[in-house]
Amino acid sequence: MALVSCALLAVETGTPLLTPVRSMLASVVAPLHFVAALPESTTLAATESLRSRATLISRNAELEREVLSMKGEVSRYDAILRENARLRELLESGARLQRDRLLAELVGTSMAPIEIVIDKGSLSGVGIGQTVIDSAGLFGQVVATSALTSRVLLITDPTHAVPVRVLRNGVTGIAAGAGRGLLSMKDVGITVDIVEGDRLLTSGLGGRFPDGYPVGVVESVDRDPTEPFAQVAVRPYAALETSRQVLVVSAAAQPTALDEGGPPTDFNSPSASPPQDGPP
Amino acid sequence: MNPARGGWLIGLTLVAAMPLAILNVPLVTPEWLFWLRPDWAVGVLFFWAVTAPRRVGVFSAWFAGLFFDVLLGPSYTLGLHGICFAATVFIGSHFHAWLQTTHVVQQALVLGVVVLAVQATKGVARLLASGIEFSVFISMTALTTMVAYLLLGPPLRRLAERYVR
Repeated sequence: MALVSCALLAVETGTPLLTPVRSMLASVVAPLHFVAALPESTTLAATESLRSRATLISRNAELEREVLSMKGEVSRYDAILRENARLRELLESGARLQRDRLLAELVGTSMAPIEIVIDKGSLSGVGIGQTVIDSAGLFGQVVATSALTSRVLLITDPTHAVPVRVLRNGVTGIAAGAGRGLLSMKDVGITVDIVEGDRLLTSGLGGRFPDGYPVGVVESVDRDPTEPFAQVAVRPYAALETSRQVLVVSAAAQPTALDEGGPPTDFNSPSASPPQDGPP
Repeated sequence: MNPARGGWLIGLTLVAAMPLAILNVPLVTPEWLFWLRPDWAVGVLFFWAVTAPRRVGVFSAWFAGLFFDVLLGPSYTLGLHGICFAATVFIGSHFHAWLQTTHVVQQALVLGVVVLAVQATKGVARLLASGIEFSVFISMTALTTMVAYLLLGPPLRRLAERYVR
């Protein structure tokens, strides 16, 4: 048995041969994630049902105001995206691909590695490597799927890294997870133009993450003249520790039809394009 | 595991250990709090290996471990929980005659050592396979498993005397 375990360890570490086996077994135990989430979801549901009518009315009014304001913002983004698509056409570089989004809810958490389990799996079309975002920015990526659930590695996990660019000047780099709710930029030379407050977006390099999703804001830059690289701490935009609902993003085969005219993008549409110039 | 001879109780406790192993902990909590979760599966297997050594085998323990590997995510390679569970059952059943004559506190102390060894094995394997940092908080898991064993062991033993033959 020890030999079999060691052989499995070697095979699973070195090759993807056992991924289908793991996925099949995970589908068998997937309902247990929902059972484990019951105490928390029941507590949340009870809290919701105990809210007073007045609180709900005021919350509803607040959300309506928020939706209205965001719709205005989206129409502005839509105009910018149309212009961007036209310019790309002129440059013959092709429009960005339209991406489908799938709403998923958190059903489990893990701290080592920093992961969450979501209630959508391969039956809903979720696949390994897909990007996960929340309303504010990049959340993580899918690392394992079963039929009913998927595991998402958060961007703050020390084993995670994402290619980024600075919105202000286009400087590129790698933002790696640093634990404790932070990221750090790797291998940034001390002369590189990056300052506190700079916004970071996904650069799309490497092809794993789509371009243009907000990642975080530079919280501090520590330049020690005796060291070749600066220490750059990044605070993620996504509410990694509190978001219960996330969106799984996938690349669709068709380019965005942004230059076809018509009404502004429907904000509720699951295929709404990502924001391009920073967090909402 | 014959259901007619109380196999259902052994299966039920092991299945109950699965959601308990992945019970949600808010990510805002400090890391050490996360490690306060007892190792329910090792506790349950140790209990049955000591109480009914002929009813749980190392092979079935290894097989059950596969489900814990997938339940806890890809950072646990297939077979990792299996080898830990098989070792737990082997130790429990090998020393069952002596352990059955000892006080529950002594049994809990032995279980604490077993959990510590299991957590250390898993920590090293995950460090080698996935580069996940080894946590010093594994001792807290051993402590809480011992406390859970002290609290739940005696009532479970009464159930075992009644149903498991």
